[in-house]
Amino acid sequence: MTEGGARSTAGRAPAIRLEHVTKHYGSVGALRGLTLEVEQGEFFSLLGPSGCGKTTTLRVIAGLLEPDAGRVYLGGRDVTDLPPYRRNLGLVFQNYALFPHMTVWDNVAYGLRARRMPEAEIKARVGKYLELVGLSAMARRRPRELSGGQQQRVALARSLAVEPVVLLFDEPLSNLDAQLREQMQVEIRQLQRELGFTAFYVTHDQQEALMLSDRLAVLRDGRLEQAGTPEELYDAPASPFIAGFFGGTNLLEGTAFRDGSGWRFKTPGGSVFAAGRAVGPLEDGGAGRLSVRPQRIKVLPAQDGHAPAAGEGPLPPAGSAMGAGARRDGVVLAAVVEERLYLGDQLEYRLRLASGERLTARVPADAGAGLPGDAVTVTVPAAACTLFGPEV
Amino acid sequence: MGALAGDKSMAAPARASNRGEARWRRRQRRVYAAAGLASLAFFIAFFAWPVGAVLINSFRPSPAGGFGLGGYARFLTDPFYLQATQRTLAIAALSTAVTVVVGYGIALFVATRVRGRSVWLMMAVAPMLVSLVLRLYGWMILLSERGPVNRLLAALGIIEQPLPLLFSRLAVVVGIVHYCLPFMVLTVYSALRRIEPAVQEAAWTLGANGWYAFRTIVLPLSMPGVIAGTSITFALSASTFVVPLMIGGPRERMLSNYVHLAVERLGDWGFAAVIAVLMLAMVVLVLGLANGLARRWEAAQ
Repeated sequence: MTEGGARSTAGRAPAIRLEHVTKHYGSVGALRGLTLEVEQGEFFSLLGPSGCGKTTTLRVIAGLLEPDAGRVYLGGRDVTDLPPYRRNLGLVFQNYALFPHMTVWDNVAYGLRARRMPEAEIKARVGKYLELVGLSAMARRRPRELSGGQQQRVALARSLAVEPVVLLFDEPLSNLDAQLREQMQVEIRQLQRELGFTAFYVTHDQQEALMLSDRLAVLRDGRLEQAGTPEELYDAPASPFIAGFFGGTNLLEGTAFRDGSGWRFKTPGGSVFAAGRAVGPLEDGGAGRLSVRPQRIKVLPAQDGHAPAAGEGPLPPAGSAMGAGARRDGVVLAAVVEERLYLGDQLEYRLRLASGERLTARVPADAGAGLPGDAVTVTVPAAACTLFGPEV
Repeated sequence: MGALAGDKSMAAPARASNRGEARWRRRQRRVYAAAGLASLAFFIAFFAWPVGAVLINSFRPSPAGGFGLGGYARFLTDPFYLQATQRTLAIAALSTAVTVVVGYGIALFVATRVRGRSVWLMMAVAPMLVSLVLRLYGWMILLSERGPVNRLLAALGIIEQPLPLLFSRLAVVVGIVHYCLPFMVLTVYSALRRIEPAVQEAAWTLGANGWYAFRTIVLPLSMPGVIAGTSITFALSASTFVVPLMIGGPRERMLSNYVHLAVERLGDWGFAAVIAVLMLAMVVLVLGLANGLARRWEAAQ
């Protein structure tokens, strides 16, 4: 959409900028001084549990809700006081919101007719975008004659046809089944790359957000919890909440100890972990919480004097000179399998450490070692562990 | 067992024979059939029978007796009754038109309230809780020669002499609109409420301002309610009896008043039945026509 005039004149101003946006809204979905920026051409996702304010944010950007305080900028222009129809946006709804009394063609042409575009130009545009979503053959159909996936494609074409500065998505795929959802995710991402529009994508599905986004932000109780690239949020969570939100995590309460330049963590039962990262104010000997990624834990058969596995280089073998102690780059712990859940591609182990704490591990399905009741050896690399201060 | 049979019949509805049905399903159907038959008996006793009796009566032009179309011939050749028919249609059409416009406005207002929607709706429908006769007495007071309306107009210096508001065409139309408005408001309101809010929001975000979105989205999507409301209103206004009787006076009599007069003054039950049957035919014809037009309009959309 290089012909989008509004976009080229906007220069390098962020596509969307929210400044201290506040919206009181009963008890759920309120916004408390939200500030965020979305760059031109970026695929940006807003993520959070239900009631966190993500849909409120989208509706404030679209102009369907007026913020109590704060400003909204689109392409550097203050649009806070503009009605939705003067913001040049596209919005793709969860329930498609197609016009049921119009054909697919008229649905896609709607925004262009509202702009009083010459009929010849409308014809070209509608044809182009219907083809782009692969629905040229359906132009004469009514929305109710289409499947859910086709309806969402029409909604997409309808929003794209007006060539908006920003395309807003409000959980657009949550009404589709898993297989179709994945297919549509790929298609939306491809369209966004091809056409270069700025996408603002609201979802509660962290997998979807990780997969689609250039950057994403997690909202919690109307505040920005963390924003960054998918890698940053997954590998360097700023809070236990973020750590738990992406892929789940083990959260252990215990005591933090300084270890040279890094930190170690000791559970009440006495297990010691090496923390790859530390977040927030920590005191030597003070309270802390440790997040341990289940996917980075390895579960091996309990064998004396044997190296856990090839490729575990930096980790000391169990029963070595390091004993039950921890090195900077990881620890080896003894545990008992309490439960073993088969998830298809993965095995989930519910483990009880020798020190009494419980730990969940996820390993590839072919890397399983042990059945319920078996003694195993667990290796926890420091990279799996993030230590949070008590106030984070 | 039951669930299994249910699954089977869903998988192959074409083959769902009585033989293959589970016993509980057959029993269930018999319960429904019994309930249906009871309603049907009620319908025959209290609707089909009296209407049938009127229809048969209409072929017995009294007082001579006998059987034939004489009553219809008398009605259709008498300019007096043809004029009354014309007047009835004119009043019904005008009242319906006013009711549609006013009713749509009220329904739109109520449907778009964020707070107190049910209170507003209650207020729009509340008149139905009071007897029509009582409400028409109210209009008689309001529209009378020395009533509030005339006095207000005089006080504002708009008129010198009181206007003959009561017993006029205006009074009848006002009365009918008042009578039919709640029905129109309810049907249009429910049609408006069925429109998904997101559909209108989609129109706005696509660049449609309020008026354009209303014209292209809200109005067409509420048409089923408008058509239903119009049909009810027309049927009610064409057959109204109390309104012209109380505030119409002798010059604004409608057909139902002549049914009443034929029985009351002339004791001519046969002719009363003729008028009643023709009124029914007229309403059915107009509604059928309107429905056909609406369907064609919808198809052309």
